[in-house]
Amino acid sequence: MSDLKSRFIELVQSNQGLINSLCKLYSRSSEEMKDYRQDVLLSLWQAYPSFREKSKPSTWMYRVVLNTLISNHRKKNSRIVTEFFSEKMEFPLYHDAGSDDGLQVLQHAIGMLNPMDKAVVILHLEGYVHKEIAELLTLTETNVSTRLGRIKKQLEKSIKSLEHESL
Amino acid sequence: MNLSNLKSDWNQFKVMNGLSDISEAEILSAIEPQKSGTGKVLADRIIQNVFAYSLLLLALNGCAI
Repeated sequence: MSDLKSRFIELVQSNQGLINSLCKLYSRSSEEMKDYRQDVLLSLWQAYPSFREKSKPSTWMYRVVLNTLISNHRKKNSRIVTEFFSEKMEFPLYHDAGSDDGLQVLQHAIGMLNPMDKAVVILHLEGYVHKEIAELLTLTETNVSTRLGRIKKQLEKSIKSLEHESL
Repeated sequence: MNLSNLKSDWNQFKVMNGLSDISEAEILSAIEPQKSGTGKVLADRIIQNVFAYSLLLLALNGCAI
């Protein structure tokens, strides 16, 4: 096996929590999650030669993985738009965050957001500032701020309704 | 709503998902597409289409006679 491949495998395995979490939040079933993970691994491999060791590996991964998942979702939705109402398709069906209520609420609430809003909130939770989020997702800073304001309201509503359901 | 409240949940979510391993075999199978397999599928499809088209032609010729 080439040295490049060995280093790539090591990089992926040391960031598997990040990859699995993102694929899970964008998928609706365990099969779809595996498909997405395959696509993500291929995208990472194709982008690997352009990865600068100086930059933070996780930042590079977030850029490649989120853009792959958003693009996959768009392609998939354009194929099934005649069969389903897209609003319904935003809801992921795949929840296996275990018995932890906080994690289930997080997964469900974020899962209800549209693909770009999901990416924005994930990067925000990861501690990136608006400017960095804008660069990673090729958005404007104003757009990121506006989205985050809307996302907060939406998450608040979802979390309240989920907590109400669980009572 | 303060999203910072969700940060610890997000970190816990990542830790939990870090427990399911991405095996070396899975990574290799994703990054090394099997070219011969793709070629075989394509050849199979061409053979199937040629066969179906031949049958269709024969049937139509039979009808014409």
